[in-house]
Amino acid sequence: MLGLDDLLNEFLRETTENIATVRCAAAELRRDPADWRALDTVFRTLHGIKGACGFMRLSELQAEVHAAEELLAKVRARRRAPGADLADLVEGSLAHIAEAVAELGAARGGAAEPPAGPEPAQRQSVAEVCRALAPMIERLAVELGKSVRLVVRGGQFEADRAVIAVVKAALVHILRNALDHGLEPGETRARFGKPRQGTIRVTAYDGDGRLFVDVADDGRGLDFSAIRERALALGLVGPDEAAAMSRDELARLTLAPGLSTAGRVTALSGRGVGLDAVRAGTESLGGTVEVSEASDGGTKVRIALPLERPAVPAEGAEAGAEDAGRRRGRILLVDENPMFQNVLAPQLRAAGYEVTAVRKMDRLLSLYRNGASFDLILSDLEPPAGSKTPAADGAQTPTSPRQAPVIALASHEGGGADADSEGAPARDDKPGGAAKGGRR
Amino acid sequence: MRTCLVVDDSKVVRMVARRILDGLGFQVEEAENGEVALTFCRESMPDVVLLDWNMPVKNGLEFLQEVRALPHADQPVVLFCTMENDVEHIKQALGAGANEYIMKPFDNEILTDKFAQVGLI
Repeated sequence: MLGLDDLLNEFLRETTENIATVRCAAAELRRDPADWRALDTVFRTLHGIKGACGFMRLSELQAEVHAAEELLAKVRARRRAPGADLADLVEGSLAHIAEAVAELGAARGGAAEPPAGPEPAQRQSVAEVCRALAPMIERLAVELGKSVRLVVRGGQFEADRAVIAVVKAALVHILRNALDHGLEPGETRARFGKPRQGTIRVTAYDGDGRLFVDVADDGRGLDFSAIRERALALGLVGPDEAAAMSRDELARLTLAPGLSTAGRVTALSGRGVGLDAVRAGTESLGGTVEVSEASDGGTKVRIALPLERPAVPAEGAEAGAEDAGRRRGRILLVDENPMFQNVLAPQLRAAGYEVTAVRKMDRLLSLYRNGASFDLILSDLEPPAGSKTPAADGAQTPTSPRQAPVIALASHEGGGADADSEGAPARDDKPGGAAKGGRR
Repeated sequence: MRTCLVVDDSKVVRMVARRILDGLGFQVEEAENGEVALTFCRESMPDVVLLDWNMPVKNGLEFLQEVRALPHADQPVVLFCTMENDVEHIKQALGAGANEYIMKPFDNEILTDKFAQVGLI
Protein backbone atom coordinates (compact mmCIF):
# COMPACT_ATOMS: atom_id res chain seq x y z
CA MET A 1 0.00 0.00 0.00
CA LEU A 2 1.31 3.37 -0.93
CA GLY A 3 1.84 5.87 1.80
CA LEU A 4 0.83 9.50 1.57
CA ASP A 5 4.47 10.31 2.03
CA ASP A 6 5.44 8.46 -1.13
CA LEU A 7 2.76 10.33 -2.95
CA LEU A 8 3.96 13.70 -1.69
CA ASN A 9 7.54 12.83 -2.59
CA GLU A 10 6.44 11.87 -6.06
CA PHE A 11 4.39 15.03 -6.36
CA LEU A 12 7.38 17.18 -5.42
CA ARG A 13 9.61 15.34 -7.85
CA GLU A 14 7.13 15.46 -10.69
CA THR A 15 6.22 19.08 -10.17
CA THR A 16 9.82 20.21 -9.92
CA GLU A 17 10.48 18.44 -13.19
CA ASN A 18 7.39 19.96 -14.77
CA ILE A 19 8.46 23.42 -13.68
CA ALA A 20 11.83 22.89 -15.33
CA THR A 21 10.04 21.74 -18.48
CA VAL A 22 7.90 24.87 -18.60
CA ARG A 23 10.98 27.02 -18.03
CA CYS A 24 12.75 25.43 -20.97
CA ALA A 25 9.67 25.87 -23.14
CA ALA A 26 9.44 29.51 -22.08
CA ALA A 27 13.06 29.97 -23.13
CA GLU A 28 12.28 28.51 -26.51
CA LEU A 29 9.26 30.75 -26.79
CA ARG A 30 11.38 33.75 -26.02
CA ARG A 31 13.62 33.00 -28.95
CA ASP A 32 10.90 32.03 -31.32
CA PRO A 33 7.52 33.56 -30.51
CA ALA A 34 5.91 31.44 -33.22
CA ASP A 35 7.10 28.18 -31.70
CA TRP A 36 3.69 26.58 -31.17
CA ARG A 37 5.26 23.36 -29.92
CA ALA A 38 6.87 25.22 -27.04
CA LEU A 39 3.60 27.00 -26.32
CA ASP A 40 1.76 23.71 -26.40
CA THR A 41 4.27 22.27 -23.94
CA VAL A 42 3.75 25.24 -21.62
CA PHE A 43 -0.01 24.76 -21.57
CA ARG A 44 0.04 20.99 -21.34
CA THR A 45 2.62 20.95 -18.57
CA LEU A 46 0.92 23.67 -16.53
CA HIS A 47 -2.28 21.69 -16.91
CA GLY A 48 -0.45 18.64 -15.62
CA ILE A 49 0.86 20.53 -12.60
CA LYS A 50 -2.65 21.73 -11.88
CA GLY A 51 -4.05 18.23 -12.16
CA ALA A 52 -1.51 16.80 -9.74
CA CYS A 53 -2.22 19.65 -7.30
CA GLY A 54 -5.89 18.69 -7.45
CA PHE A 55 -5.13 15.12 -6.46
CA MET A 56 -2.93 16.33 -3.63
CA ARG A 57 -5.76 18.59 -2.44
CA LEU A 58 -3.42 21.56 -2.72
CA SER A 59 -6.24 23.85 -3.65
CA GLU A 60 -4.34 27.08 -3.18
CA LEU A 61 -1.51 26.01 -5.44
CA GLN A 62 -4.00 24.57 -7.88
CA ALA A 63 -5.80 27.90 -8.03
CA GLU A 64 -2.48 29.62 -8.60
CA VAL A 65 -1.60 27.39 -11.54
CA HIS A 66 -5.10 27.80 -12.88
CA ALA A 67 -4.75 31.59 -12.72
CA ALA A 68 -1.46 31.36 -14.60
CA GLU A 69 -3.11 29.20 -17.24
CA GLU A 70 -6.00 31.58 -17.67
CA LEU A 71 -3.76 34.61 -17.90
CA LEU A 72 -1.64 32.94 -20.56
CA ALA A 73 -4.70 31.77 -22.45
CA LYS A 74 -6.07 35.31 -22.48
CA VAL A 75 -2.83 36.76 -23.71
CA ARG A 76 -2.58 34.10 -26.36
CA ALA A 77 -6.16 34.62 -27.48
CA ARG A 78 -5.75 38.36 -27.80
CA ARG A 79 -2.60 37.85 -29.80
CA ARG A 80 -1.51 41.07 -28.27
CA ALA A 81 1.63 39.54 -26.92
CA PRO A 82 4.61 38.51 -28.91
CA GLY A 83 6.30 35.40 -27.58
CA ALA A 84 8.79 37.29 -25.46
CA ASP A 85 5.99 38.80 -23.39
CA LEU A 86 4.40 35.43 -23.06
CA ALA A 87 7.71 33.98 -21.92
CA ASP A 88 7.96 36.73 -19.30
CA LEU A 89 4.49 35.91 -18.11
CA VAL A 90 5.25 32.23 -17.91
CA GLU A 91 8.40 32.88 -15.93
CA GLY A 92 6.67 35.36 -13.66
CA SER A 93 3.94 32.90 -12.83
CA LEU A 94 6.36 30.04 -12.49
CA ALA A 95 8.51 31.84 -9.97
CA HIS A 96 5.63 31.72 -7.52
CA ILE A 97 4.62 28.19 -8.25
CA ALA A 98 8.22 27.04 -7.92
CA GLU A 99 8.55 28.91 -4.66
CA ALA A 100 5.40 27.33 -3.27
CA VAL A 101 6.59 23.87 -4.26
CA ALA A 102 10.03 24.45 -2.77
CA GLU A 103 8.37 25.59 0.45
CA LEU A 104 6.18 22.56 0.48
CA GLY A 105 9.28 20.44 0.08
CA ALA A 106 10.98 22.32 2.88
CA ALA A 107 7.93 22.16 5.13
CA ARG A 108 7.30 18.44 4.76
CA GLY A 109 9.08 16.28 7.29
CA GLY A 110 10.37 19.34 9.09
CA ALA A 111 7.21 19.72 11.11
CA ALA A 112 5.88 16.28 11.87
CA GLU A 113 8.80 13.85 11.88
CA PRO A 114 12.25 15.37 12.05
CA PRO A 115 14.48 12.72 10.49
CA ALA A 116 17.25 11.33 12.68
CA GLY A 117 19.67 11.46 9.78
CA PRO A 118 19.44 12.70 6.23
CA GLU A 119 17.16 10.36 4.28
CA PRO A 120 18.81 9.15 1.11
CA ALA A 121 15.68 9.83 -0.94
CA GLN A 122 15.73 13.44 0.19
CA ARG A 123 19.21 14.04 -1.11
CA GLN A 124 20.66 14.22 -4.54
CA SER A 125 24.09 14.50 -6.07
CA VAL A 126 24.93 17.97 -7.34
CA ALA A 127 27.01 16.63 -10.24
CA GLU A 128 24.04 14.56 -11.35
CA VAL A 129 21.86 17.64 -11.54
CA CYS A 130 24.45 19.58 -13.54
CA ARG A 131 24.91 16.75 -16.00
CA ALA A 132 21.19 16.30 -16.40
CA LEU A 133 21.06 19.78 -17.91
CA ALA A 134 23.45 18.88 -20.73
CA PRO A 135 20.77 17.69 -23.18
CA MET A 136 18.83 20.91 -22.76
CA ILE A 137 21.98 22.94 -23.41
CA GLU A 138 22.83 20.89 -26.47
CA ARG A 139 19.35 21.36 -27.88
CA LEU A 140 19.46 25.07 -27.18
CA ALA A 141 22.87 25.37 -28.81
CA VAL A 142 21.66 23.67 -31.95
CA GLU A 143 18.66 25.96 -32.13
CA LEU A 144 20.82 29.02 -31.64
CA GLY A 145 23.28 27.80 -34.22
CA LYS A 146 26.09 27.87 -31.69
CA SER A 147 28.62 25.29 -30.74
CA VAL A 148 29.28 24.81 -27.06
CA ARG A 149 31.26 22.56 -24.77
CA LEU A 150 29.76 22.08 -21.33
CA VAL A 151 32.38 21.11 -18.76
CA VAL A 152 31.07 19.94 -15.41
CA ARG A 153 33.53 19.59 -12.57
CA GLY A 154 33.09 18.60 -8.94
CA GLY A 155 29.75 18.20 -7.31
CA GLN A 156 30.55 14.75 -5.94
CA PHE A 157 28.44 15.44 -2.89
CA GLU A 158 24.78 15.55 -2.07
CA ALA A 159 22.44 18.30 -1.03
CA ASP A 160 18.89 18.50 0.14
CA ARG A 161 16.30 18.13 -2.58
CA ALA A 162 14.72 21.48 -1.90
CA VAL A 163 18.16 23.07 -2.34
CA ILE A 164 18.80 21.01 -5.45
CA ALA A 165 15.52 22.16 -6.95
CA VAL A 166 16.61 25.77 -6.58
CA VAL A 167 20.08 25.00 -7.97
CA LYS A 168 18.52 23.31 -10.96
CA ALA A 169 16.17 26.17 -11.70
CA ALA A 170 19.01 28.67 -11.30
CA LEU A 171 21.28 26.69 -13.58
CA VAL A 172 18.63 26.59 -16.28
CA HIS A 173 18.50 30.38 -16.23
CA ILE A 174 22.23 30.93 -15.98
CA LEU A 175 23.22 28.41 -18.63
CA ARG A 176 20.58 29.69 -21.00
CA ASN A 177 21.86 33.19 -20.46
CA ALA A 178 25.44 32.18 -21.04
CA LEU A 179 24.56 30.37 -24.22
CA ASP A 180 22.14 32.89 -25.62
CA HIS A 181 23.79 36.15 -24.61
CA GLY A 182 27.27 35.35 -23.38
CA LEU A 183 28.71 33.18 -26.12
CA GLU A 184 29.19 34.85 -29.47
CA PRO A 185 28.33 33.12 -32.73
CA GLY A 186 31.14 30.98 -34.14
CA GLU A 187 32.11 33.48 -36.86
CA THR A 188 32.38 36.32 -34.37
CA ARG A 189 34.52 34.23 -32.10
CA ALA A 190 36.78 33.27 -34.98
CA ARG A 191 37.25 36.93 -35.86
CA PHE A 192 38.46 37.60 -32.33
CA GLY A 193 40.85 34.70 -32.54
CA LYS A 194 38.81 32.56 -30.19
CA PRO A 195 37.95 28.93 -30.84
CA ARG A 196 34.66 28.71 -32.71
CA GLN A 197 33.29 26.45 -30.05
CA GLY A 198 32.43 28.27 -26.85
CA THR A 199 32.98 26.75 -23.43
CA ILE A 200 30.77 26.90 -20.38
CA ARG A 201 32.30 25.56 -17.22
CA VAL A 202 30.13 24.49 -14.32
CA THR A 203 32.11 23.92 -11.16
CA ALA A 204 30.41 22.71 -8.00
CA TYR A 205 32.07 22.49 -4.62
CA ASP A 206 31.12 22.63 -0.99
CA GLY A 207 32.53 24.22 2.11
CA ASP A 208 31.27 25.51 5.45
CA GLY A 209 27.97 23.75 5.02
CA ARG A 210 27.35 25.64 1.81
CA LEU A 211 27.17 24.54 -1.74
CA PHE A 212 28.75 26.69 -4.46
CA VAL A 213 28.15 26.45 -8.15
CA ASP A 214 30.20 28.61 -10.52
CA VAL A 215 29.10 28.98 -14.11
CA ALA A 216 31.72 30.65 -16.27
CA ASP A 217 31.58 31.21 -19.99
CA ASP A 218 34.32 32.36 -22.35
CA GLY A 219 31.98 34.67 -24.21
CA ARG A 220 31.89 38.38 -24.86
CA GLY A 221 31.60 39.34 -21.22
CA LEU A 222 29.55 42.11 -19.69
CA ASP A 223 28.85 45.32 -21.51
CA PHE A 224 29.75 47.71 -18.73
CA SER A 225 28.79 50.92 -20.46
CA ALA A 226 25.36 49.53 -21.28
CA ILE A 227 24.86 48.44 -17.67
CA ARG A 228 25.87 51.90 -16.48
CA GLU A 229 23.48 53.61 -18.90
CA ARG A 230 20.65 51.33 -17.99
CA ALA A 231 21.19 51.78 -14.25
CA LEU A 232 21.20 55.54 -14.77
CA ALA A 233 18.06 55.41 -16.87
CA LEU A 234 16.31 53.36 -14.19
CA GLY A 235 17.42 55.75 -11.49
CA LEU A 236 19.19 52.98 -9.59
CA VAL A 237 22.28 55.20 -9.32
CA GLY A 238 23.02 58.88 -9.78
CA PRO A 239 25.35 60.22 -12.52
CA ASP A 240 28.31 60.75 -10.17
CA GLU A 241 27.86 57.41 -8.54
CA ALA A 242 27.59 55.69 -11.92
CA ALA A 243 30.77 57.29 -13.18
CA ALA A 244 32.66 56.20 -10.08
CA MET A 245 31.49 52.60 -10.12
CA SER A 246 34.08 49.87 -10.55
CA ARG A 247 33.62 46.99 -12.95
CA ASP A 248 32.88 44.71 -10.01
CA GLU A 249 30.17 47.03 -8.80
CA LEU A 250 28.70 47.31 -12.27
CA ALA A 251 28.73 43.53 -12.59
CA ARG A 252 26.72 43.29 -9.40
CA LEU A 253 24.17 45.68 -10.84
CA THR A 254 23.13 43.05 -13.38
CA LEU A 255 21.31 41.42 -10.50
CA ALA A 256 19.25 44.53 -9.85
CA PRO A 257 15.69 43.71 -10.79
CA GLY A 258 15.03 46.59 -13.12
CA LEU A 259 18.09 45.66 -15.08
CA SER A 260 17.43 42.02 -15.35
CA THR A 261 13.71 41.60 -15.76
CA ALA A 262 12.97 43.50 -18.88
CA GLY A 263 13.42 41.72 -22.18
CA ARG A 264 14.69 44.89 -23.80
CA VAL A 265 17.72 44.84 -21.55
CA THR A 266 18.87 41.85 -23.54
CA ALA A 267 19.42 44.02 -26.55
CA LEU A 268 21.00 46.76 -24.50
CA SER A 269 23.39 45.03 -22.21
CA GLY A 270 23.52 41.63 -23.72
CA ARG A 271 23.02 40.12 -20.30
CA GLY A 272 20.63 39.86 -17.48
CA VAL A 273 17.58 37.94 -18.55
CA GLY A 274 16.21 36.11 -15.58
CA LEU A 275 19.09 36.88 -13.24
CA ASP A 276 16.74 38.45 -10.75
CA ALA A 277 14.67 35.27 -10.84
CA VAL A 278 17.82 33.35 -10.01
CA ARG A 279 18.47 35.71 -7.18
CA ALA A 280 14.94 35.48 -5.80
CA GLY A 281 15.01 31.68 -5.89
CA THR A 282 18.41 31.49 -4.28
CA GLU A 283 17.64 34.02 -1.59
CA SER A 284 14.44 32.23 -0.70
CA LEU A 285 16.62 29.47 0.73
CA GLY A 286 19.13 31.78 2.33
CA GLY A 287 21.58 31.77 -0.57
CA THR A 288 23.38 34.39 -2.63
CA VAL A 289 24.21 35.11 -6.26
CA GLU A 290 27.26 36.95 -7.53
CA VAL A 291 28.11 38.08 -11.02
CA SER A 292 31.66 38.91 -11.99
CA GLU A 293 34.05 38.91 -14.92
CA ALA A 294 35.57 35.55 -15.69
CA SER A 295 39.35 35.36 -15.88
CA ASP A 296 39.25 34.96 -19.66
CA GLY A 297 36.98 37.93 -20.26
CA GLY A 298 33.70 36.04 -20.14
CA THR A 299 31.15 36.15 -17.38
CA LYS A 300 31.03 34.20 -14.17
CA VAL A 301 27.94 33.67 -12.05
CA ARG A 302 28.30 32.08 -8.65
CA ILE A 303 25.40 30.77 -6.64
CA ALA A 304 25.88 29.78 -3.03
CA LEU A 305 23.29 27.95 -0.98
CA PRO A 306 23.16 26.16 2.35
CA LEU A 307 23.48 22.40 1.79
CA GLU A 308 20.52 21.86 4.05
CA ARG A 309 17.17 23.53 3.72
CA PRO A 310 16.49 26.14 6.38
CA ALA A 311 14.40 25.00 9.33
CA VAL A 312 12.31 28.17 9.21
CA PRO A 313 10.13 28.75 6.15
CA ALA A 314 11.95 30.85 3.60
CA GLU A 315 9.75 33.90 3.87
CA GLY A 316 10.08 33.92 7.63
CA ALA A 317 13.83 33.72 7.31
CA GLU A 318 13.93 36.58 4.89
CA ALA A 319 11.91 38.79 7.13
CA GLY A 320 13.28 37.39 10.37
CA ALA A 321 16.23 37.94 12.59
CA GLU A 322 18.90 37.45 9.95
CA ASP A 323 19.40 41.13 9.38
CA ALA A 324 18.72 42.28 12.90
CA GLY A 325 22.18 43.83 13.04
CA ARG A 326 21.71 46.20 10.15
CA ARG A 327 18.04 47.02 10.14
CA ARG A 328 16.59 48.45 7.02
CA GLY A 329 12.95 48.95 6.25
CA ARG A 330 11.01 45.74 6.07
CA ILE A 331 8.06 45.79 3.78
CA LEU A 332 5.35 43.24 3.49
CA LEU A 333 3.68 43.21 0.11
CA VAL A 334 0.30 41.56 -0.11
CA ASP A 335 -1.08 41.16 -3.58
CA GLU A 336 -2.52 38.16 -5.29
CA ASN A 337 -1.38 39.22 -8.72
CA PRO A 338 2.01 37.65 -9.39
CA MET A 339 2.80 40.01 -12.21
CA PHE A 340 2.20 42.98 -10.00
CA GLN A 341 4.36 41.49 -7.29
CA ASN A 342 7.05 40.85 -9.83
CA VAL A 343 7.07 44.48 -10.79
CA LEU A 344 6.76 46.04 -7.38
CA ALA A 345 8.88 43.79 -5.19
CA PRO A 346 12.07 44.19 -7.25
CA GLN A 347 11.63 47.96 -7.33
CA LEU A 348 11.36 48.09 -3.59
CA ARG A 349 14.31 45.76 -3.16
CA ALA A 350 16.34 47.91 -5.50
CA ALA A 351 15.50 50.86 -3.28
CA GLY A 352 17.10 49.01 -0.40
CA TYR A 353 14.13 47.51 1.36
CA GLU A 354 13.65 43.99 2.51
CA VAL A 355 10.53 42.80 0.83
CA THR A 356 8.45 39.83 1.75
CA ALA A 357 5.77 39.16 -0.80
CA VAL A 358 2.74 37.09 0.00
CA ARG A 359 -0.36 36.50 -1.99
CA LYS A 360 -2.83 35.34 0.56
CA MET A 361 -4.05 36.19 4.01
CA ASP A 362 -3.17 32.84 5.52
CA ARG A 363 0.46 33.28 4.54
CA LEU A 364 0.52 36.60 6.28
CA LEU A 365 -0.78 35.12 9.49
CA SER A 366 1.72 32.28 9.39
CA LEU A 367 4.50 34.83 8.99
CA TYR A 368 3.36 36.64 12.07
CA ARG A 369 3.17 33.39 13.96
CA ASN A 370 6.77 32.76 12.99
CA GLY A 371 7.72 36.00 14.59
CA ALA A 372 8.16 38.19 11.52
CA SER A 373 7.66 41.91 11.82
CA PHE A 374 7.34 44.66 9.26
CA ASP A 375 7.79 48.37 9.13
CA LEU A 376 5.26 48.86 6.40
CA ILE A 377 2.56 46.80 4.80
CA LEU A 378 1.55 47.43 1.20
CA SER A 379 -1.64 45.60 0.59
CA ASP A 380 -3.95 45.05 -2.31
CA LEU A 381 -7.47 46.24 -1.67
CA GLU A 382 -9.03 43.52 -3.71
CA PRO A 383 -8.36 40.20 -2.08
CA PRO A 384 -9.20 36.95 -3.82
CA ALA A 385 -12.85 36.00 -3.63
CA GLY A 386 -13.81 34.45 -0.35
CA SER A 387 -11.06 35.93 1.76
CA LYS A 388 -10.96 39.01 3.85
CA THR A 389 -9.15 42.17 2.89
CA PRO A 390 -5.61 41.74 4.16
CA ALA A 391 -5.30 45.45 4.69
CA ALA A 392 -8.03 45.31 7.25
CA ASP A 393 -7.64 41.96 8.84
CA GLY A 394 -4.08 40.74 8.69
CA ALA A 395 -2.11 43.81 9.54
CA GLN A 396 -3.94 44.63 12.68
CA THR A 397 -4.32 41.10 13.90
CA PRO A 398 -3.69 40.76 17.62
CA THR A 399 -0.91 38.26 16.90
CA SER A 400 1.07 40.95 15.14
CA PRO A 401 4.09 41.82 17.23
CA ARG A 402 4.22 45.32 15.78
CA GLN A 403 1.53 47.57 14.51
CA ALA A 404 2.87 48.37 11.08
CA PRO A 405 1.41 51.18 9.01
CA VAL A 406 -0.59 49.97 6.06
CA ILE A 407 -0.78 51.46 2.59
CA ALA A 408 -3.61 50.07 0.54
CA LEU A 409 -3.02 49.71 -3.17
CA ALA A 410 -5.84 50.26 -5.59
CA SER A 411 -5.85 50.44 -9.33
CA HIS A 412 -9.03 52.47 -9.68
CA GLU A 413 -11.18 55.04 -7.99
CA GLY A 414 -13.64 54.05 -5.35
CA GLY A 415 -11.46 51.86 -3.17
CA GLY A 416 -10.44 54.57 -0.77
CA ALA A 417 -13.55 54.48 1.32
CA ASP A 418 -13.17 50.75 1.81
CA ALA A 419 -9.59 51.09 2.87
CA ASP A 420 -10.40 53.77 5.43
CA SER A 421 -13.27 51.87 6.88
CA GLU A 422 -11.27 48.70 7.15
CA GLY A 423 -8.39 50.17 9.02
CA ALA A 424 -5.81 51.03 6.37
CA PRO A 425 -4.58 54.52 7.11
CA ALA A 426 -3.33 55.52 3.71
CA ARG A 427 -4.01 54.64 0.15
CA ASP A 428 -1.99 54.79 -2.99
CA ASP A 429 -2.69 54.04 -6.59
CA LYS A 430 -0.93 51.37 -8.60
CA PRO A 431 1.57 51.52 -10.04
CA GLY A 432 2.83 54.86 -8.80
CA GLY A 433 2.26 53.60 -5.30
CA ALA A 434 5.45 51.68 -5.59
CA ALA A 435 7.60 54.75 -5.73
CA LYS A 436 5.74 56.66 -3.05
CA GLY A 437 5.52 53.78 -0.66
CA GLY A 438 9.01 52.59 -1.35
CA ARG A 439 11.13 55.67 -0.76
CA ARG A 440 11.32 57.71 2.32
CA MET B 1 -8.85 -10.69 -12.00
CA ARG B 2 -9.82 -7.86 -14.30
CA THR B 3 -7.25 -5.42 -15.58
CA CYS B 4 -7.42 -1.65 -15.57
CA LEU B 5 -4.90 0.35 -17.57
CA VAL B 6 -4.29 3.81 -16.15
CA VAL B 7 -3.08 6.17 -18.88
CA ASP B 8 -1.75 9.46 -17.56
CA ASP B 9 1.54 11.31 -17.96
CA SER B 10 1.45 12.22 -14.28
CA LYS B 11 2.82 9.55 -12.00
CA VAL B 12 1.03 11.24 -9.12
CA VAL B 13 -2.31 10.62 -10.83
CA ARG B 14 -1.33 7.06 -11.65
CA MET B 15 -0.34 6.43 -8.04
CA VAL B 16 -3.64 7.73 -6.73
CA ALA B 17 -5.62 5.73 -9.29
CA ARG B 18 -3.65 2.61 -8.50
CA ARG B 19 -4.40 2.94 -4.84
CA ILE B 20 -8.13 3.20 -5.45
CA LEU B 21 -8.26 0.48 -8.11
CA ASP B 22 -6.27 -1.93 -5.94
CA GLY B 23 -9.02 -1.52 -3.41
CA LEU B 24 -11.66 -2.28 -6.04
CA GLY B 25 -9.90 -5.54 -6.84
CA PHE B 26 -8.41 -4.65 -10.22
CA GLN B 27 -5.04 -5.60 -11.54
CA VAL B 28 -3.56 -2.20 -12.34
CA GLU B 29 -1.26 -1.44 -15.24
CA GLU B 30 0.15 1.97 -16.09
CA ALA B 31 1.01 3.82 -19.28
CA GLU B 32 2.47 7.33 -19.46
CA ASN B 33 1.02 8.28 -22.82
CA GLY B 34 -1.35 7.10 -25.54
CA GLU B 35 1.39 5.43 -27.52
CA VAL B 36 2.51 3.22 -24.65
CA ALA B 37 -1.13 2.49 -23.88
CA LEU B 38 -1.83 1.45 -27.47
CA THR B 39 1.12 -0.94 -27.49
CA PHE B 40 -0.19 -2.42 -24.28
CA CYS B 41 -3.69 -2.84 -25.73
CA ARG B 42 -2.36 -4.53 -28.86
CA GLU B 43 -0.54 -7.10 -26.75
CA SER B 44 -3.16 -7.71 -24.12
CA MET B 45 -6.46 -5.86 -24.10
CA PRO B 46 -7.33 -4.59 -20.64
CA ASP B 47 -10.94 -4.66 -19.38
CA VAL B 48 -10.98 -0.96 -18.70
CA VAL B 49 -8.88 2.09 -19.48
CA LEU B 50 -8.78 5.20 -17.33
CA LEU B 51 -7.69 7.77 -19.91
CA ASP B 52 -6.14 11.20 -19.49
CA TRP B 53 -6.62 13.72 -22.27
CA ASN B 54 -3.55 15.97 -22.40
CA MET B 55 -0.47 13.85 -22.85
CA PRO B 56 2.72 14.19 -24.83
CA VAL B 57 3.56 11.81 -27.70
CA LYS B 58 0.00 10.60 -28.19
CA ASN B 59 -2.95 12.22 -26.47
CA GLY B 60 -6.14 10.65 -25.20
CA LEU B 61 -8.20 11.39 -28.28
CA GLU B 62 -5.65 9.88 -30.63
CA PHE B 63 -5.41 6.79 -28.45
CA LEU B 64 -9.18 6.45 -28.40
CA GLN B 65 -9.51 6.69 -32.18
CA GLU B 66 -6.83 4.08 -32.72
CA VAL B 67 -7.93 1.67 -30.03
CA ARG B 68 -11.48 1.72 -31.42
CA ALA B 69 -10.09 0.85 -34.84
CA LEU B 70 -8.59 -2.37 -33.49
CA PRO B 71 -10.53 -5.68 -33.74
CA HIS B 72 -13.06 -6.07 -30.88
CA ALA B 73 -13.90 -2.41 -31.13
CA ASP B 74 -16.13 -2.62 -28.06
CA GLN B 75 -13.12 -3.36 -25.88
CA PRO B 76 -11.94 -1.95 -23.60
CA VAL B 77 -14.34 0.15 -21.55
CA VAL B 78 -12.84 3.64 -21.64
CA LEU B 79 -13.38 6.17 -18.89
CA PHE B 80 -12.06 9.50 -20.01
CA CYS B 81 -10.72 11.85 -17.32
CA THR B 82 -11.07 15.58 -17.66
CA MET B 83 -10.35 18.53 -15.45
CA GLU B 84 -12.72 21.06 -16.93
CA ASN B 85 -16.43 20.78 -17.24
CA ASP B 86 -16.14 21.47 -20.92
CA VAL B 87 -19.18 20.14 -22.77
CA GLU B 88 -17.52 20.25 -26.18
CA HIS B 89 -14.57 18.36 -24.85
CA ILE B 90 -16.72 15.68 -23.26
CA LYS B 91 -18.87 15.37 -26.37
CA GLN B 92 -15.76 14.91 -28.47
CA ALA B 93 -14.49 12.15 -26.19
CA LEU B 94 -17.81 10.33 -26.06
CA GLY B 95 -18.12 10.73 -29.84
CA ALA B 96 -14.73 9.10 -30.29
CA GLY B 97 -15.84 6.09 -28.30
CA ALA B 98 -15.31 6.83 -24.61
CA ASN B 99 -17.92 5.07 -22.47
CA GLU B 100 -18.02 7.62 -19.69
CA TYR B 101 -16.14 10.56 -18.33
CA ILE B 102 -14.79 11.35 -14.90
CA MET B 103 -13.85 14.70 -13.43
CA LYS B 104 -10.36 15.11 -12.02
CA PRO B 105 -9.43 15.00 -9.25
CA PHE B 106 -11.34 11.79 -8.56
CA ASP B 107 -11.38 9.91 -5.30
CA ASN B 108 -12.45 6.50 -4.13
CA GLU B 109 -16.13 7.38 -4.03
CA ILE B 110 -16.27 9.05 -7.45
CA LEU B 111 -14.35 6.27 -9.15
CA THR B 112 -16.41 3.53 -7.46
CA ASP B 113 -19.64 5.25 -8.54
CA LYS B 114 -18.49 5.56 -12.15
CA PHE B 115 -17.30 1.97 -12.29
CA ALA B 116 -20.69 0.85 -10.96
CA GLN B 117 -22.45 3.07 -13.50
CA VAL B 118 -20.76 1.38 -16.46
CA GLY B 119 -21.33 -2.05 -14.93
CA LEU B 120 -17.74 -2.83 -14.03
CA ILE B 121 -18.53 -3.54 -10.40
